[in-house]
Amino acid sequence: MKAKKYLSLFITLILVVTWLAGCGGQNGQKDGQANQEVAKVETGIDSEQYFNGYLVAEPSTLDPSKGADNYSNTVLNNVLEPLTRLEEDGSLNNVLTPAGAESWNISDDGTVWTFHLRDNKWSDGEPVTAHDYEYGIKRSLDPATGSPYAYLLMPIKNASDVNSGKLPVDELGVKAIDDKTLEIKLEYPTPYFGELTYQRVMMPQRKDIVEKYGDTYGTEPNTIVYNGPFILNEWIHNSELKFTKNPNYWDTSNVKLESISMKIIAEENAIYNSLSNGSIDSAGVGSPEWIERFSAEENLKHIETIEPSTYYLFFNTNDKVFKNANIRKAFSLAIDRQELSNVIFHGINAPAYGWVPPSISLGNDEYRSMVKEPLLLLAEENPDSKKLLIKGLEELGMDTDPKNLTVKISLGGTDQWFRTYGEYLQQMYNRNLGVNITIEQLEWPIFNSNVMKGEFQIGYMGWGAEYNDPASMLSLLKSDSNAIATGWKNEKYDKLIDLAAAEMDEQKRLEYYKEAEHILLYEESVVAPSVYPKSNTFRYKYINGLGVTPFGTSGWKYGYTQGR
Amino acid sequence: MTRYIIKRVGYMLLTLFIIITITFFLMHSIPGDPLAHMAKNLPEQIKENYYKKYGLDQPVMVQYVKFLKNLITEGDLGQSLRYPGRSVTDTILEHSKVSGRLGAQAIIIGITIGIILGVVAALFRNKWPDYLIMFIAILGVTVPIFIIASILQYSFSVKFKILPTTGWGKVKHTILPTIALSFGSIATYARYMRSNVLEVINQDYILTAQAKGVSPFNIVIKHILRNAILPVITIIGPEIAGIFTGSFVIERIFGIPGLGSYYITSINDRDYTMIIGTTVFYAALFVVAQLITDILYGIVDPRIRVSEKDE
Repeated sequence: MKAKKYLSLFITLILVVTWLAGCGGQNGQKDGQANQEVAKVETGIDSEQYFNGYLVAEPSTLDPSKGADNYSNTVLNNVLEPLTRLEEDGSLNNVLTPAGAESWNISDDGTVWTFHLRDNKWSDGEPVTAHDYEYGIKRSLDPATGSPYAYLLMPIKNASDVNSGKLPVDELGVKAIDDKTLEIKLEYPTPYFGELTYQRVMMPQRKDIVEKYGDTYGTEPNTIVYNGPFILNEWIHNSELKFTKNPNYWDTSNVKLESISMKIIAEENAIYNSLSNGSIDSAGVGSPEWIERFSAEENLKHIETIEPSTYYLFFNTNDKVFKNANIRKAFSLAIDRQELSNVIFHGINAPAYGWVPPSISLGNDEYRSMVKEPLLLLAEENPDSKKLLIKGLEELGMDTDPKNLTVKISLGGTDQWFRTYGEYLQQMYNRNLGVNITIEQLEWPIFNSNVMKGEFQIGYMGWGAEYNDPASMLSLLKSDSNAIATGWKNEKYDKLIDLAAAEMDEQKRLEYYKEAEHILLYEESVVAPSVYPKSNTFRYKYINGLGVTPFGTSGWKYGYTQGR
Repeated sequence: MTRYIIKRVGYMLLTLFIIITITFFLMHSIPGDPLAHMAKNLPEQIKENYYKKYGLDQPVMVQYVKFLKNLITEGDLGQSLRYPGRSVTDTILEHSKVSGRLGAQAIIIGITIGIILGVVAALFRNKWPDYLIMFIAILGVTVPIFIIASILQYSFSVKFKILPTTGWGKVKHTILPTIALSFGSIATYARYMRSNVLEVINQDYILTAQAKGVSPFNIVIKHILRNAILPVITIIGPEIAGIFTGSFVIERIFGIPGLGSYYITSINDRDYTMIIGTTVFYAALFVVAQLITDILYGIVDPRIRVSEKDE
């Protein structure tokens, strides 16, 4: 896998690729369309329906509140039924589709969401009730659970106080009104709240089962119950997971696959060999040679998608040099993004001139298709980045000869890829700005801890968006967020993000985001996005119905094989 | 002998205690925490709750005492931080069985073939079997194991499609990894054995045996092998300890659920309990293997027994 080779440390990104590659699929039609499609192919599909995929690493746990890796996310999306699923329409846009909930209403002020659940059963025959969803959410936010992803739920009323132990869990704004109705009160109107309803921290959990198994809940196939399209039957740790179709599932007539095997294969070549000899049906491919080779195979189809992630350099704005915006701009513009994506990423990734990556939508449209990337404008107006650097040095009263400036770039990886990348940055900055660059290669946790302490000048990282809204990327730079430790504080930016977070009107929200991104990159250049990673998936042509969008969560639900 | 063994066991426990203590404080002193695998910085409150849940909010000294107490009184190594809810002891036992099976197969094949090849090479010294065997041995020592493994995988599971690419559970899954793993030890033992046999072959007692008309086969079995195998025992001990810990590389390539991967990933993930668990496990195996080697040595080589008595 590409991400593994390059950025073994940016786990999130790897996860996205994996989830795309092996398994992630989603066939996202809305109910009606899905039924039509299924009806059309019903006659020709194979009599034996199975799928062989893989995961790059062992899922941590199936406890929805505890794990934080996408391998377990992949599994959870297929074995539990969240309130909604993010499916995919004919033109590959993501659509929030009813799943555990049949429908929902939002109050006029946008702060109360009421979900009406459909009839569904757990694998042990018990009915799924609103209490199960209520319990799942409350357990995720309960400080005693120690859930890493609980922070996604902060828009829920009293979530922050409950999570810090100031209020009892009962005070959380989540309540089962009856067995079939779940009411969620929010702290403030949250336009993207729908995007949180399919996250693991909001999945239903059975109180009796959680209490019965305690800490071992979700560590083995028989210490958790299922209410999604599939059931996990066998889990040979670090080797293979085997699933079968869940006969109790509410939409079982639309589930075609009878059994699924997910092998755990970490080694890149082993994955490609497995795809070559047909022991797996689909794989994410990162190395250029293998992409070329698989492209020539006529049994395989090639699916290329841009991931909802950005790789970027970021500046320490408390540093004596990088506190100056013009210098930051110069260091951002000096990156030859096209060359970078060709040389370092072998043309696989796309050059990034914006912070919000493509494939993130606002409402039903892709954000990037509506907002021009701010760095394009900055580059147009400043064809010579060196001038900006000299201007910045003058403003700081420093020596204006770039030859006398030495800057350190810290990289959070110690492997060969990072070495090459560091050398490339060194040469590129020397050529384009005339400055001297030293490279510091650190193991990820050490890099991360230095960055948090502000002991760096320029750092390099990747970030994968967690939910399908520009807020998931833009809120990272708010001054109260410690996600990317640039030390940057901007009141206007904070205000725009806050306004957008509570604005239900999409057009206005778009304006807020657009302005915020403009401040972030054009005016201040706090971060310097370099590329948007792409993923290349190769899949045998007989595999159908597994989707391609990176965010989609319908998993293997609509998958089927024809002509295996 | 008994007094000797008791003394050795005492040293062993002391060694283990020192290793545990050093590892415990070392691993807590390197930057990063078990949330590092998420590759993102979480809000403070979330981190606090997490630390508290797993007892990481307490001073390292307190954690150390608690760990030692659980280890000594209940043999409990705690719960993995990367795989919440899974006991470290169970994980180690479960996965070391897999590594152990694979390692045992590889070591048996490695020793048997290695010793045979070494003896053959020595007996045919400077003739073509010697050159061929030493050529193979040099390949085995110099070619990295992942290349051998990749070639085997590509040939047998992609080209000829007769063996599975990855997986675990059936005998067929173990064939390629066993061959790949034993390749290196075949080479090592063959070289060791060859030079030992050459040394022995020139001894006077071999000449005496020949002069007395002992058959060449009996000379090899009774006189040469018995004496030449002695130094080999020294390297078998640590290698037996190694079989339960698995091979990171081979396990990755063939998708084998052994213990090897945990040594590397637990450190990268800062899975403290797993780091200390695997360290204790490996250290214990190692010192036990050393002890057994020494005892074995005493049995095989009477001179050592004699000197013990003198003491």
